Amino acid sequence: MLIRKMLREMLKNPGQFISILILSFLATLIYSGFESNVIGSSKAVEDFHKATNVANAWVYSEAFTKENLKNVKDLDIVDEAQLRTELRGTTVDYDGAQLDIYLMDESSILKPYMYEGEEDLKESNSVKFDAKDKDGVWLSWSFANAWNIKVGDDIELEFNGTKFTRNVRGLIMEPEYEYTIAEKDSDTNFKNIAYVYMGYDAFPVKELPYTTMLVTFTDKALNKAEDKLKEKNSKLSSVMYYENEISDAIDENYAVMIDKESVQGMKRVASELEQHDSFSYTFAMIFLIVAVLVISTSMSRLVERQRTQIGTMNAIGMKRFKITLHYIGYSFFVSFVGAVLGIIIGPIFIGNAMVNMLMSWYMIPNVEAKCNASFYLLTAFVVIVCVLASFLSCRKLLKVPPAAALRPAAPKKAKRIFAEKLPLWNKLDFSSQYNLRDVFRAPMRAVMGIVGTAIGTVLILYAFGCYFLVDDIVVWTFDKLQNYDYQIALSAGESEDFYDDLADELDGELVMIDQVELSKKKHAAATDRFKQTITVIEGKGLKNITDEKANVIDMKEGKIAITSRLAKQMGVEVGDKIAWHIYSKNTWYESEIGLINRTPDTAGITILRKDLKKLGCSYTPTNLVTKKNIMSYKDKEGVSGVYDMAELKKAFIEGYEIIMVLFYVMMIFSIVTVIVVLYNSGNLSFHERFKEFATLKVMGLSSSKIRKILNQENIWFAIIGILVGMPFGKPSLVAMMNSNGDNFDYYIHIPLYLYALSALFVLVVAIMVSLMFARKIKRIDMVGSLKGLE
Amino acid sequence: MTEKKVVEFKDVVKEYGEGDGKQIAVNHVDFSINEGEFVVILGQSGAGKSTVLNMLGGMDSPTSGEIIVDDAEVSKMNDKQLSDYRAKKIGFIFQFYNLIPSLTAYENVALTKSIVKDALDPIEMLERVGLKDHAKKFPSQMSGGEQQRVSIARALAKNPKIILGDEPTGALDSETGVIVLKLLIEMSHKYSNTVIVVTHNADIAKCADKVIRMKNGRIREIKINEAPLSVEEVEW
Repeated sequence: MLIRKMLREMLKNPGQFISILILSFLATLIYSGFESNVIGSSKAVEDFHKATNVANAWVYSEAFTKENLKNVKDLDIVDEAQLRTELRGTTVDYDGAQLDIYLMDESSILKPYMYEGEEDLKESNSVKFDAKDKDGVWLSWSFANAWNIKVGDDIELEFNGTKFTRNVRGLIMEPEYEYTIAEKDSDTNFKNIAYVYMGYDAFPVKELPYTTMLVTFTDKALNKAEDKLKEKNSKLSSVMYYENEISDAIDENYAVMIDKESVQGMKRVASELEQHDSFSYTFAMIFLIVAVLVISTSMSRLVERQRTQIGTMNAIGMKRFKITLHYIGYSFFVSFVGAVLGIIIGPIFIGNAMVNMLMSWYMIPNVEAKCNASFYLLTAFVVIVCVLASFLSCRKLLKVPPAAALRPAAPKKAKRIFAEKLPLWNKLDFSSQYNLRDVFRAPMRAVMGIVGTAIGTVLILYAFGCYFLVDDIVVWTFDKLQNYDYQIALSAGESEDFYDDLADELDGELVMIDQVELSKKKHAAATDRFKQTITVIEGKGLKNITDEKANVIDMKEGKIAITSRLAKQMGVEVGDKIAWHIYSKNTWYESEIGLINRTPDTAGITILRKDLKKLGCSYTPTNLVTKKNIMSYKDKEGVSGVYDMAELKKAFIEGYEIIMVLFYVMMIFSIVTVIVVLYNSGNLSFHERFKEFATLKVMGLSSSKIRKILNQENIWFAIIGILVGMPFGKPSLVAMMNSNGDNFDYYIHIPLYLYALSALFVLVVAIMVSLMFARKIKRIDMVGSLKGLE
Repeated sequence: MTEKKVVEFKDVVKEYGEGDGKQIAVNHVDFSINEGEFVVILGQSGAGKSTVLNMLGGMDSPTSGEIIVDDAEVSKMNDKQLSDYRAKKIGFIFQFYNLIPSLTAYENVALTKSIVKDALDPIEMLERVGLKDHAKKFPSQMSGGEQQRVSIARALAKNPKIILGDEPTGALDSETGVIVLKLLIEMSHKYSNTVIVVTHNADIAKCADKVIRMKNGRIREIKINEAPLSVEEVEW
């Protein structure tokens, strides 16, 4: 019978129940949606690394010897070690895509993962990697998929002008390429970058040095390192803990040793997942706060409104436990349905949508949205909050003697408020005074309305911020940092004069990009060294640098520029000196910081060519940028690829589609939050003051005037919420956008008109919500109020 | 008290529901009330007295018949006109006072300024009900009787033609009820307000100028009290 009562009452007053259901749903939906992607992707990454026996350490040198390898293998701490040669070439067809070549004698570490795929590329014909195969290569699946290259096809490759054709023996995936981007690209385009595994015998150029040593440590050694580091409270990773042992074993014949935290392909994915993790917690928390506020306030009021019914049930002898259980049932039912729907739908729709979106950038096999125990804990938490709110209200009412509970509750005590002491008070109209007192009479409702609107405002600012961020980044990247229309990817092996002649011919600027290790002083401890990028420009105004507000600035001669985030991480500023060396070279250099610059997605240092040469560092340009159309230079000597920046810009914008998705998601969340919160606040206010409104109506106050009273309060909450939310919008958006790894440093500029637009948007939603009460007010039961009954 | 008819009910019927579930709350009711009269509508629960009051107050409309108040046909008014009618012509006194808890006594009365342009001075109204000193108190700081007196002051402040009271003493003890009743009679006799009170308390009827007895939705008797008793004369 009581269940029937519950269901009927829910149908009679659906708005409030639905809003609790929606909020419980949203709280678990957002968390499970984002988090299922993080959990699923992390699991897939873990499995991937395990399957490929990912290296613990990458050690780079100008040339390793077999003796170096033997010595490392002999170390107790080392499980396996392997040498390889890393080279840069191009494909002959396929728009001369960048080609990373890995030559090796064996593949026990970073074993190529044979991707099963959809069978379109005859993936099942793939054979295991064989270093002795003289005619075969193992090609990256992502590239093969982008160009429809099948297992068994021949592919023509080029290295320093030498062209050779090999047969594709298998399609592979490799953890170092979980994230990958061609040097010429500003965003991932699998058509522009390929990598191949091959044996030395299959490569046309012989006598090449071993440039990389891959090392895995024993579990025992890694655990021991971890314990030691814990004892010392050191930030060093357990892999880098063994740098000295490796260094000694190879007689310091190395340039740099890194762990997977510094491998861009893996680091980017880890950072992205970390970002999504923080997104899921932040958003879940935001909605949880709103949900808890709304649910607890609504449930308490709902139970309080049933005062006489509770009194009646109590009076006719129903056990208190049963009454309590009945009222707990309301909140349990609604919140449970909402929360469970959220954890079911979240992974299916949001989780899988995010996985699909991520997999358009990242190359990780077998990713799918997954859930874990935290989902059930969150569901339980949401339900417990709801149940607790109704339990506490019910318990309070059950303490009232039945005879008293049968009569309407005495009105809440009113008291003078601070505002009454202000001279302005007497000038306020009736509805303002009335509403001001009401706000102080029901402060939780005010908090709910204000916090909810503030969150709605923050979300809408996120939405607009994201929307205009794309435009800003495009202008920043393609109009400011890159003041050129065409770009040539240069092949290595030509003389400096050759490149200079080419640059003169095209009125172009030569650019060199390489990986560097930086620290405050030479040979600093591993924890104080940073792995980033060096950009060498000529200062001709084609390849530029920008300041912290994204304005183009000139390089200072004799000094370097350092990106702002890196400067902060290193704790350096203008005037300080830093030491650096190119990954593959062992020589350290020292430079003074002349400028702090900012780029959206590359961290590192920039130096003028002449200053680099003054330091004695070898100069090998990687690109030539120009305003002249160089598309016909494709087959010229020393040119490995030609690119039209307009095309790259188009692809770049397409790549930022996710930001637009974020824009729509934020808009929807913002609207839902504002509607749910303000509807609830209005609804509670309406029900709490129902009798008062009825009295006013009986006294002759028109419905429109009563609506104005009710709406005024909600509009106040909206305005205060907007003002409270606004300052949080930009900083939190910047923090979230830039949590995607150390390289990202977006300059997010939200102009004043966007703040005004956001405020207007939230206010319009608030006004629309207020209109929802028009009918309710018109239908106020004046007769009932006369009798003074509930 | 004048002979001018201020309220006329002509063959008024009020039905609720349809078909088998149809109930007749007020069945062909006719009566009239003169200006300045203190009228008591008496009857047991379900007699239809509150329905009559609600229709008279513009909170409910009749199924058939005519209700004329101060020469205006209330039964034909639309929502907006009814709202205006309630604002200008009617002052209500509720059984449970229905004061706004977050407004002081003064503010509750002054609230009428938001409803009618020519509302009377709130302090003067509070003085009339003997609560000038309580002007700054909130309802929760006053007794039931005091709250009801504020409610009367609020009704008076609109300077209405008619004051309607639905069991105005129903929630009060007899001592406080007497004070409230005295006030209502005073409003009628001294200030020429027409006061109509609905009650099931037959003692109150002894003080009325006119008593309308209702039973089962019909008028059983309309009695003119040639010599109504003063409140003090009635044994409560």
